[in-house]
Amino acid sequence: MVEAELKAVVREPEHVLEQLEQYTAGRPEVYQDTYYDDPEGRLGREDRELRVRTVHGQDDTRSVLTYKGARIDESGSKPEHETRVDDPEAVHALLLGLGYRPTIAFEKRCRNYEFEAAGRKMLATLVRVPELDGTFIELETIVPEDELKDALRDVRQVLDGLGIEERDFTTELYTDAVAARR
Amino acid sequence: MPTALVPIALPDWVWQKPEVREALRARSMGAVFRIVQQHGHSQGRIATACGMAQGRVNEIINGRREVSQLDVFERIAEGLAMPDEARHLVGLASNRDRRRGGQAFDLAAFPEIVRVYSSQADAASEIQRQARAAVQLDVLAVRGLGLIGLNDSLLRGSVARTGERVRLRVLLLHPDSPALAQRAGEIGESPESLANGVKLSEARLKELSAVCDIEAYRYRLLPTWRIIRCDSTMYVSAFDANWEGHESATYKVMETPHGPLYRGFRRMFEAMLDEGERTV
Repeated sequence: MVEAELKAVVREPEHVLEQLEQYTAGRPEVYQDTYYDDPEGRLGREDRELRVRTVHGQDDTRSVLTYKGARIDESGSKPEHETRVDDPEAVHALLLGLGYRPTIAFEKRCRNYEFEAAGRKMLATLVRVPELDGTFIELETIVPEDELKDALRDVRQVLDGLGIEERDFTTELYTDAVAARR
Repeated sequence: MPTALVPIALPDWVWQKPEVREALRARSMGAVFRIVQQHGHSQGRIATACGMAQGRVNEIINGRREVSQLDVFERIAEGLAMPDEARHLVGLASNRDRRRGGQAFDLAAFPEIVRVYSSQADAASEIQRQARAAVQLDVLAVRGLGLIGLNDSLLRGSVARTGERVRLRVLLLHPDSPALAQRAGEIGESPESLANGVKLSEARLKELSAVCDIEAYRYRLLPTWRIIRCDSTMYVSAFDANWEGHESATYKVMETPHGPLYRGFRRMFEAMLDEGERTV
């Protein structure tokens, strides 16, 4: 499975939020992300990601361990493997023991919307990263790899309906943007 | 055309140069782009920052095309992170919050109260988990026996670590203060009993200096807020008449750039610490 995902800068956050709230009520969550790499930076060089994320939500606090492979097309979509972990501290120790080191850690403040559109389950996330100016939107749907093209077309269409223009799409990673700011 | 998450950042003095101000006033984006190029930014980088095609940037630079639409000026101003004064010269409003929706939008869409618990007991395991990973712990309590004073208190097991020493700061109610007598009355206890509870807690806090960097202080203010801070996350509840702190609903408040609650509680804690009487 692959994440068909597009990310864009939001020029009119109030308007986009209003549109999204018509799909469903937004769920505010804080993500605390720590990215890891080996001392040679091999994962980053190969466009791969290893991340521990703790999600502070309204109903629970949960952590997930995620590995993302290199981008498979120009949209930035990446094969993704993710599993929930009970004890992020233990995972941290485990990764250190395997030779990985934390490379960057930052917070994302998110408002999540899960809904169905174009016959697909979509997850839209409005994102603020305190160190970056601006509000961003990510829209994703998980699909088998051979459906990626169609799924991206649908994702683009939903974004268009929200008033997001194609020229505001971005493939830049938050990790790179935050690192550039520090 | 993919746009950039990070605008081009020029030093402030660049925007103050007479030729730059002149270009802005004339709304000549070609001249502005040429100046940006002189500061080491390629046409491609300008295009990405401003969400334009590189060919379009090239046309503007070479005078084959003029910018006339307001939304394009806005895009360029954002992409080049123009300070307000530069925006004014182009004729744009200084509202640089527009793109991010402003403080009120941020706090409504991404609230600093992340979660609500109906009592401290409901929050206990979460608080312990946060406390175990925190470098800095702050506690504002009355006598603190439930939070830190006793062996089975909520936070006691979280402060001794292998490898690093936690910084722990605790504010407890002054045993000889009028506020303590008032609080004792509110919860149907004798002032002597409550004061002894505070002193017991202080004695047990001293023991923690072997395992962490502890500071404990006495305050004289009427107990109102009960706060546990684990780095940038706070758990906040309240004291009231006939209402014990641990019975209060608890808010989980996380630090945000504009959040007044986190900032206010943090500031209040520091002020109480400054005025407090250090005991440990």
